[in-house]
Amino acid sequence: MPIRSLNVLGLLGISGVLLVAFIYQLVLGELPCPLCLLQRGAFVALGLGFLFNIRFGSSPAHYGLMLIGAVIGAGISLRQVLLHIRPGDPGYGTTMLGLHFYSWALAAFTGSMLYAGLLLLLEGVNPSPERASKPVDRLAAASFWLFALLVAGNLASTLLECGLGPCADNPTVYDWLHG
Amino acid sequence: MVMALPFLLGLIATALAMGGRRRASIWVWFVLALVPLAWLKHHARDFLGLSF
Repeated sequence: MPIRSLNVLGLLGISGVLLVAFIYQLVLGELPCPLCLLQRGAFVALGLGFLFNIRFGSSPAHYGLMLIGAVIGAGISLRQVLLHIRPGDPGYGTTMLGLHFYSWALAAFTGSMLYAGLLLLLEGVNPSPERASKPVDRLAAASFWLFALLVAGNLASTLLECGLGPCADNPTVYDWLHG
Repeated sequence: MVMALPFLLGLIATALAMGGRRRASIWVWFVLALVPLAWLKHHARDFLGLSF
């Protein structure tokens, strides 16, 4: 599989993570806490690394941005895991397949680091002429738009939830909608 | 408002990248990364048991 396709897969994976989080927020009413929002922001930073590779051609700099975003996100999700690690602590929010979302986030950030490492390895083993940027195909363009839509959605929902002030530690309502 | 910044900057970086502005989009990425980094620095004291 060409490296560019693997980067598109990565961007779609990140978009999938943001989409699942949105589904739980909008359908089940699970508003994101400040730590949750920071983790979503880290996923955005991580996703941008994939987007840059697709749009401008693969570059060690873009993989570097990916890895930095993943490390930052892993740090924040690890913080949230440790806040609720005591025996008997019910954790924060609902679970999906038995794990809380911050645990899944930690797994996703760690997995992303491994994925970025794998892509770098493949780049080194099979240097491809596609390093130079080339016109974006339909799937890549669709992945850009999906990602942009999800980032815009997160921007809107964060403003609705927190307004212009600090976000509540355990949000239950959208502050801007409740005046 | 601070929590919305990563998404606002992410949207700007995405738009710049889609518009072909590589250097500008990377610069915006770095500003985006500052928000969670600042949070990590603020909480590092109790997170890592360090004092600074």
